[in-house]
Amino acid sequence: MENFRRIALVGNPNVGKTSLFNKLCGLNQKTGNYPGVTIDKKRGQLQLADHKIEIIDLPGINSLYPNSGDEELVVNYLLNNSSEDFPDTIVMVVSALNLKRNLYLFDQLSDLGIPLILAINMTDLAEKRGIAIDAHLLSAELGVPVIKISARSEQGIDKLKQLLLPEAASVNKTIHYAEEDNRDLIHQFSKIIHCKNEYRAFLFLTQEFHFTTPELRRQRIDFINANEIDIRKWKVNESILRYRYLSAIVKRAVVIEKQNARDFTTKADKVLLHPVWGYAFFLLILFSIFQSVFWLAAYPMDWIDSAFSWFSGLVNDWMPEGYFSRLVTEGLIPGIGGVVIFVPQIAILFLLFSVLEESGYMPRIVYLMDRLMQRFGMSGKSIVPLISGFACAVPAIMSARTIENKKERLITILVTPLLTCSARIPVYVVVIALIVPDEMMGVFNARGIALMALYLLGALMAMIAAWVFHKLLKNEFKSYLILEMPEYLVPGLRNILISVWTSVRAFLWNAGKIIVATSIILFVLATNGLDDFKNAEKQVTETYTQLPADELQVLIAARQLETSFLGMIGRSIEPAIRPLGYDWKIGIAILSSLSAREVFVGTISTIYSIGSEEELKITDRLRQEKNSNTGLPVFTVATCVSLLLFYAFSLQCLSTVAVTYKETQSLRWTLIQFFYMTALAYFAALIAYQILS
Amino acid sequence: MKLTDFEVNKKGIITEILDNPVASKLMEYGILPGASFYVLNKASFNGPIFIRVGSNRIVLRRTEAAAVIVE
Repeated sequence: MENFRRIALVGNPNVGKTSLFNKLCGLNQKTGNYPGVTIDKKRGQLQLADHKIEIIDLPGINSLYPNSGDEELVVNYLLNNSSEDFPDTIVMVVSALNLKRNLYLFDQLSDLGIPLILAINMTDLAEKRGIAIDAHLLSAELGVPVIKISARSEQGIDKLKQLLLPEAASVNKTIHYAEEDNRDLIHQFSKIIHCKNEYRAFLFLTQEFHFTTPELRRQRIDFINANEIDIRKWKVNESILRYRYLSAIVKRAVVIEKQNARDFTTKADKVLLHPVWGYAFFLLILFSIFQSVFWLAAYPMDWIDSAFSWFSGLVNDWMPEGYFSRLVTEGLIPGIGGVVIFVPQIAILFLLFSVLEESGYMPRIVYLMDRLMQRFGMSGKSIVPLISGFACAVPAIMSARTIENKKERLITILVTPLLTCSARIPVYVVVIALIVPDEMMGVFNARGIALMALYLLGALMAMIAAWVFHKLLKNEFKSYLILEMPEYLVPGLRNILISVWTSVRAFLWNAGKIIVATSIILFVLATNGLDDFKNAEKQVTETYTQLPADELQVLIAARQLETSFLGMIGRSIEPAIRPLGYDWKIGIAILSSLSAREVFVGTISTIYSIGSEEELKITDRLRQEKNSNTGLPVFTVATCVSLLLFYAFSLQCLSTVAVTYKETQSLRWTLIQFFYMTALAYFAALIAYQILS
Repeated sequence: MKLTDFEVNKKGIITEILDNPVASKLMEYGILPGASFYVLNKASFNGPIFIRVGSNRIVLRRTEAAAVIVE
């Protein structure tokens, strides 16, 4: 058997773990199935000589005392040493710019007795600032291999790889995190719970974990009561003692030449956190993101659209006439094309988001917005899920784990899907193109403004909903905010590209499999039916004997679609959606997009291309569409506005429902979220249509 | 004096952390008695306070900052 080793990357937030992970594994990584921020463990593979090495990238933690869901996940993983998944070695990543603070977690880990390697990241940056670190001295003091790296450049990476192969030794230290009088108690407790490692016992004594067993829970309480232990004091002492120990080491190992110190971050913060300019800059950034999503993507989108029309025509000519050929050209190709076309916009969106993340600007937004968000029952930290909600609600809801307070977290989860996610872009773009002319208003594109307005509408509704929940819900625990601000960094191109690539791939794969399935089902339903359907051709030919053949063909196609199984389903739901201004075809599109919004465009393209001979672009095809009863265009301004509002507020995303259930562990809140959004969507669309028509 | 009353762009020393539920959390971040600090920024509308302790930049709400005694 091949030699296998498992290595976990652990460290504080923003020390460059993910950069290092990307450097070690490249694209050889399994990421989550959802585009955007990753809040779970990530796995990657690396082949070294005859060793297969699995690398696990964990979310950043501040200490072994978890306060939020994401931290608890990591601590749970690190304490569960009987698990199959437990790492052979931990690479502890620290920042050279903030060594003492980062070594705090290292010190805790080394007391756990897991083999460790210390990787000091950003050493190139530190050297430029006149910070010199003596790795040999650190290694001797801490008793583990210490290596200076720069995950952005190649520096030290090869050396680090070589260190991954040999068995790293664990450190045996005497207890220095508790006062002498208490050491005996720790020893006693470790005997009671049969735990060899005393720091593990200390952790189990000083806090109750989510995963603490009832037996351990009882032992813990009994022991605390019997010995009158003041837990809070023990924790405070741990911090003081560890910092005292680390200060002494860092003082000897790190030399800082003050005259070389350049502090860009402090200067930048003077502007970016300014009471006026700070907020202005934040709005400017949001505005430019949405503008560029619209106009930067316009060109590649046109190319893709033309390419698909051309490809469809080519396949049509090349394939023999028949049912299967129609399934491909009228079902699959328009369905897939309807989604692929949005790749440029989604790629640009993710690119800009990862620039924001990588640069260190995100936590600044938390700082600026904290006070405002508290008025709406959320925390400044809610800003991160809310902003990533513009990309995709699924990872956004997961990232709400970083919010410690239960109520703040719940409200954030409930309102995040109201923000305009990337799956809504296809719907918005197609519908906006029908009613807003492609003109410039001053320096801005009119359609870009319309899209921006929809984004604002979603954000506004999210805040209103949050405020309502804030007034309805009670807060059980006091909330707090303590947050570290990273240094500003130039975003690493490699990290950004990997993030865009994995996000786009996830978008295409998730949407793709549903769309292929729905377009096949829709096509089959649309091309089969009962007696009415079979007689459609005969009936139309007999009724309109005077018409030329080509017009007759169009009528036959329309009649067939109406009498097909799909038409029957559509017409049966028509009464419910007619007040919103939709015909049964739109109804079918909404039904089929119940599981994923972006399917709407695929369905609309499939439905309207069935029985149509021309290869038209989708907006042109929709514009031509006439109501068979009234002869008026289907997509009037009132209908389009109603559709936009419906898609802005409705929760048509199975993945979001699933992730809300997973994260809240509550069927009640999952249902509340689904129904409040659906009701909001229905009534907003109803009111808009009735007023406008 | 409380950290909340401390002026922006001034240096000071932390003398005491009052007993409160997040005291140990503050200390994990290096907000310890004896540490010197610098107030970088205070967010408007009674928002959080942004300080630097050593090479560490930390943001905390006023409610937490009120438990940090400084001079």
